[in-house]
Amino acid sequence: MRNYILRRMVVNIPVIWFVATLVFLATSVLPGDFVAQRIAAQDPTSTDPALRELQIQAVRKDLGLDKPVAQRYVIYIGNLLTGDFGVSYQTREPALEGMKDGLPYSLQLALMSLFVGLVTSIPIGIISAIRQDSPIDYVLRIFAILMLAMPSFWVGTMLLLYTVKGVSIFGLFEFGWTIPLTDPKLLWEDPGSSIRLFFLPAMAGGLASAAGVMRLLRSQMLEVLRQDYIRTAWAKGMRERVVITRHAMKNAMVPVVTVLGLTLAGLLSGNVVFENLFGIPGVGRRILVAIQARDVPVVQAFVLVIATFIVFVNLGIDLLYGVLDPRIRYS
Amino acid sequence: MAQDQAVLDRSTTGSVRKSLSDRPVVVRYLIHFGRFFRTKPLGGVGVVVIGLCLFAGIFGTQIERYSPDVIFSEVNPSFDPVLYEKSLNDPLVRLQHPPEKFQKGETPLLFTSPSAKHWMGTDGLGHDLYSRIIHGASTALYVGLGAALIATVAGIVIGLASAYFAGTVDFLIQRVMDTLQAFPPLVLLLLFGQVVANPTLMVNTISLGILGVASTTRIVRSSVLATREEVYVLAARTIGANDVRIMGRHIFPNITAPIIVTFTSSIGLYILIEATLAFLGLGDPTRVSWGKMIEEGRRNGTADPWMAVAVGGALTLTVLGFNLAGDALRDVLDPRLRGRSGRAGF
Amino acid sequence: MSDLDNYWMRRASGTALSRRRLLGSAAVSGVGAASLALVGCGDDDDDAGGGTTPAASASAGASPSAAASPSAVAKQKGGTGHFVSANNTWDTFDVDRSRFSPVAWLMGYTNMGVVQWDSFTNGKVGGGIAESWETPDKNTYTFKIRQNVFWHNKAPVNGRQAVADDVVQFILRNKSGKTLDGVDDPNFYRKAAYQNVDKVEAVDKFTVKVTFSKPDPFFLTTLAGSYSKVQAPEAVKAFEKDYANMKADLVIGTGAFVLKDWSADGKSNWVRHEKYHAQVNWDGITWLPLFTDQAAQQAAFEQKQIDAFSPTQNAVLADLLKRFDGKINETKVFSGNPQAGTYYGGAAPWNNPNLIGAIFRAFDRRALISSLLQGKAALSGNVPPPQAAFGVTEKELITFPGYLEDRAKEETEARKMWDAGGGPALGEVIVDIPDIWEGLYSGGSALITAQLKKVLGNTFTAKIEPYSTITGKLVKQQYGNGKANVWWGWITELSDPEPTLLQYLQYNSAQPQFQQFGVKVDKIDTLTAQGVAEFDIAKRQELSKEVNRELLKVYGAGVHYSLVGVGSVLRHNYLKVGESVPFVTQHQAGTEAYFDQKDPTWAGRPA
Repeated sequence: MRNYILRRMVVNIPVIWFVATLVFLATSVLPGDFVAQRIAAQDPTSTDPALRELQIQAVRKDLGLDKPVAQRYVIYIGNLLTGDFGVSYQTREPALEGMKDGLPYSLQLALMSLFVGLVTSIPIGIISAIRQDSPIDYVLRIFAILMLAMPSFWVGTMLLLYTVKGVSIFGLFEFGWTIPLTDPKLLWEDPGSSIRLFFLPAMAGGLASAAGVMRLLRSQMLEVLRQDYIRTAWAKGMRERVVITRHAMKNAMVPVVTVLGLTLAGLLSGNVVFENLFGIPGVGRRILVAIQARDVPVVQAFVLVIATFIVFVNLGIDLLYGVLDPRIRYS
Repeated sequence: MAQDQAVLDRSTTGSVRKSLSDRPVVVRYLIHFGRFFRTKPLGGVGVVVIGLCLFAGIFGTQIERYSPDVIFSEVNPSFDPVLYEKSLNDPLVRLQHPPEKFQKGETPLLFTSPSAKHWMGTDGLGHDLYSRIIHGASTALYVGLGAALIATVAGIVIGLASAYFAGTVDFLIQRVMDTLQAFPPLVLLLLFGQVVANPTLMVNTISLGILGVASTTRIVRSSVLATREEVYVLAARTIGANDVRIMGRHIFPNITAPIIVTFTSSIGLYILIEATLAFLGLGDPTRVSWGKMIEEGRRNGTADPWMAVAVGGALTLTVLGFNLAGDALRDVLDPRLRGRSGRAGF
Repeated sequence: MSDLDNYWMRRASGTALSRRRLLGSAAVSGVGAASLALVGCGDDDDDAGGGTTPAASASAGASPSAAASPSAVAKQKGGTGHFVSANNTWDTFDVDRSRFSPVAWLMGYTNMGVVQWDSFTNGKVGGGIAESWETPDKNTYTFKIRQNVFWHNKAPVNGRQAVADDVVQFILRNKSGKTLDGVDDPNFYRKAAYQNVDKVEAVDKFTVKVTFSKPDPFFLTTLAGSYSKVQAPEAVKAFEKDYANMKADLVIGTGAFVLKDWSADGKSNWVRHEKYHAQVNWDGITWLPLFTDQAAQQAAFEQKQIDAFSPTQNAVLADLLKRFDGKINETKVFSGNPQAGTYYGGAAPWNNPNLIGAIFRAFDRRALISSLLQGKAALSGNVPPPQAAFGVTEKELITFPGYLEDRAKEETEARKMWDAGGGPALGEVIVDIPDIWEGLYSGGSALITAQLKKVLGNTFTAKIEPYSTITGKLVKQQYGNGKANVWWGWITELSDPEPTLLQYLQYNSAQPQFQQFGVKVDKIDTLTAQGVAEFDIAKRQELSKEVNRELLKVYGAGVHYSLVGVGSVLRHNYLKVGESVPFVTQHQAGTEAYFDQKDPTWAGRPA
């Protein structure tokens, strides 16, 4: 087991190196580099061309961009090895600073979405498997896929605006509350305020991600339910609940864990749409800003950290397999 | 099982008992198709939606009511000639009154409600919304089908090679795939779009396709690994069949089911991602795109949600269609999943 | 300092308007424009963003009562202003070397200039660090420094009193354009404006005397500029190398607010400078983390989490005004960024007046206004409406080709000119459009190219580019000059209530900037040179109008002005602000803006 983990760790090294190289290459060929963007962000018509050229050179030198690409690559990898992720062009703060600030928010949104996703997808997946092709199967599946099929930016907008505006549902009760958009709090700082803010994006994101898990769980359940040991269990006269929970579900969950892991990894890289819409200062929004500002060190640092995270989440999933399925043994 | 039998009996009563394989190919497919609709009504709905979308995408110019670029306008009823005359001498008058008072002559019909002339109303520039939605179908299909095709073809080739050659090749390929998967997807798309500066529809389609390669490769590879150990592959090898032949003739036909399912279900996802890219301002602005249209409609918020609802409905329905069809195909094609009434259709 | 003979008042008195001149939103400009790219979904632009940027919200919109009788309502102390930081483009905290609007906004709160615009509307320059000034002769200015101005209490200045030498050092630094180690730094962007200064000296502790080598009618304007903010000499000495590593500690001024925390894309906080020379109404100011989404801003505004909001959509505007009737108010403002394109007229193909004229006339400005901008814009010649006193009236403007009401005639003429100039032989014409412009005016690029194609016959293809690419091409004279291409978007931010200086820099063939456009007209050379040397404002107005006419005759002389947006700023009634103009007005925030805490809408506003 220990050997296996070690080997996997070693295998991950080239992956992270690939990611580093890829993001370096991509960011160094970005057209309209940071310097041009910074100079150009000025009034486009009122600069003396010669002066502008001087300014561009000055800024390039200041940022170390006057060296050839190969040399910059060597410096970059060298710095990485010493744990130096560089300094943001824009804020001149260490490139990882923004990541550190943003991660708790993205993590909270990711975990809350995951929770919503699990709470909805697992029952739907199971019910629609054991009642395959029945009306309830159809209704539940359509619901789940509908949540996936609706563009999240639109659902998010409508949820936000109607919640703020307040909607009376058939005159029975009033739906709506104050969403602290400009004062984002984390769950451990102020639970009430945090939930008021995160509830809508977590619901919208969670329901959208539920469909994937639901569909996989359903097909896994269908497969498992046709296995001999389930037939045996039925034949022994066990109650449905016992058959499903004790025998079928446990095995059906194995591949579902993979998808959950991937979902979590995806959620971790931040949800640009919801972060923008709900004013959550998470990772996704920061990375979008960094890419568009051509703030290369920040983009590189973010991508590397997220990639490392994902690689280890994957490793964790594989290890979890062993726990869930005794037939899988690592050596 | 008894229930299965019942269905079989029902489907064949009243006709001369004859094996399916005796009938002409077309008839055979029609029968399969009919059976698919009967046993998988949701999948059937999906197929119908896909059909409609394909029809709109292909015959857009035939079924549109107007060209999507025509701007409809009418004489501005709110025009105030006195104020207008004043504003000509003092621009600040324009800051005291609503803008429509100053628009002489015709003004475009912006965000109008559905009417006999415009079945779905008009958009924010005065275009006919129905015609725009019809045209948006081709963009959605282009991205969805294109990206799914790229991901699938590349995934098959890479997956087959990876699984079959194993060893170092497999190791390297898998590490590259790890890299692709480790990259935050949106960042990858953003970088692609930004590197080419001018993200055309084709660029976005290709980058979406590349993004999908990793997962298709994984699916193909694991299917191949399972198939490779089958006796018939061993047999082919013993009689001296070469690698290409074994892969093409023996392994590939046996892994088509998961590929078809992945292909179908991923189309909807690609369409959605393209819409999100358009929303973030990273789509191809020169194309009529549902994502962009929803974003335009969305700007009106709760004040006038119609356009967003109409286009969002079209997009949702299409994605739903592809997903339902994908699910039904999975049920039908994967023998392990055949339910009480499911059966192999094709 | 009297404003009796100022040019704005003279105009205003002839109309039925009150003194309030709602000129436009704060300029967001090229910087604003580019920054929108940074935030992704460009659904915020100059005219829209303006209202929600701190610039506009903090100081825009003289409320009628406040303007008419400034002393009638005592400005209440208390409350912290909440504004959206719609822009995160920053270069340095060394304001002498910065050209980014956000830096100017920030410095407007924290640092005073020697003099400052008391009112852009009335064209009135008032005191800053200097309380008053005299011009004993055309070549001398004497400034009297206020004796109750103190620096913020931050090391190394530690709250000492401001003295004449601070101002002397400030002017000398900008004039030399050198860093302390004696190196020429091209980033002293405003060096040219100080070149007429011959000598600066501190006559005594509170008197500064500036002597000129030749008379300079624009020296006060230069000192009142949004980047002309005085920094403490010891701070410059300590921080000069460190200014680019932006930290709140580096910003030390004499302004109304002290910068407490700052982050490029997070929250920034200011608190009242207790030793400011006048009453500062607000306890502080908070810039909220970027959120650029219109829906998010709307939601925050509805919940009073931000104090002002500029909807881009007419439907949203109408809906909010209806739902919040009596609780919010609307102020319309011109945008600080005219929309236009530029071209290089010094070589083929655009040195042919027929071709450039054809495009100028084929371009349907009114169609853009009525569809893309939903009516919220006005036509603009080379002098945009916010500088109307210096330009021709719209009544005259619409008699010039390109602006005629008779669209059919315009199109026929355009086609004739195009054919006469050999336009059809140009083949495909590329129209570069900034990504953020298209992001805001979705479908705009298709609209423009379809229009040109319809009238002129050639294929016009839109290409969406980042602003940086377009600007890069622009300064290298790559629009025209052998290629059949043009661009369209937002251009030069308005920085001055008067266009004279810009006209000189841009259209006078002796100036380096002229090289970008290269359309030489002798009469314009003469008029612009006269303008910058003229001390009489009324005469400058006439000269500028004449320049305006000449420019229109040559189809913009390289700058194809078309229209200026009109934005609507919504404010909760409790928010009272100074004037609404398309300029940087943060320096007025401390004394002009306040919260009316007795207003019923104040209840329920989150602190």
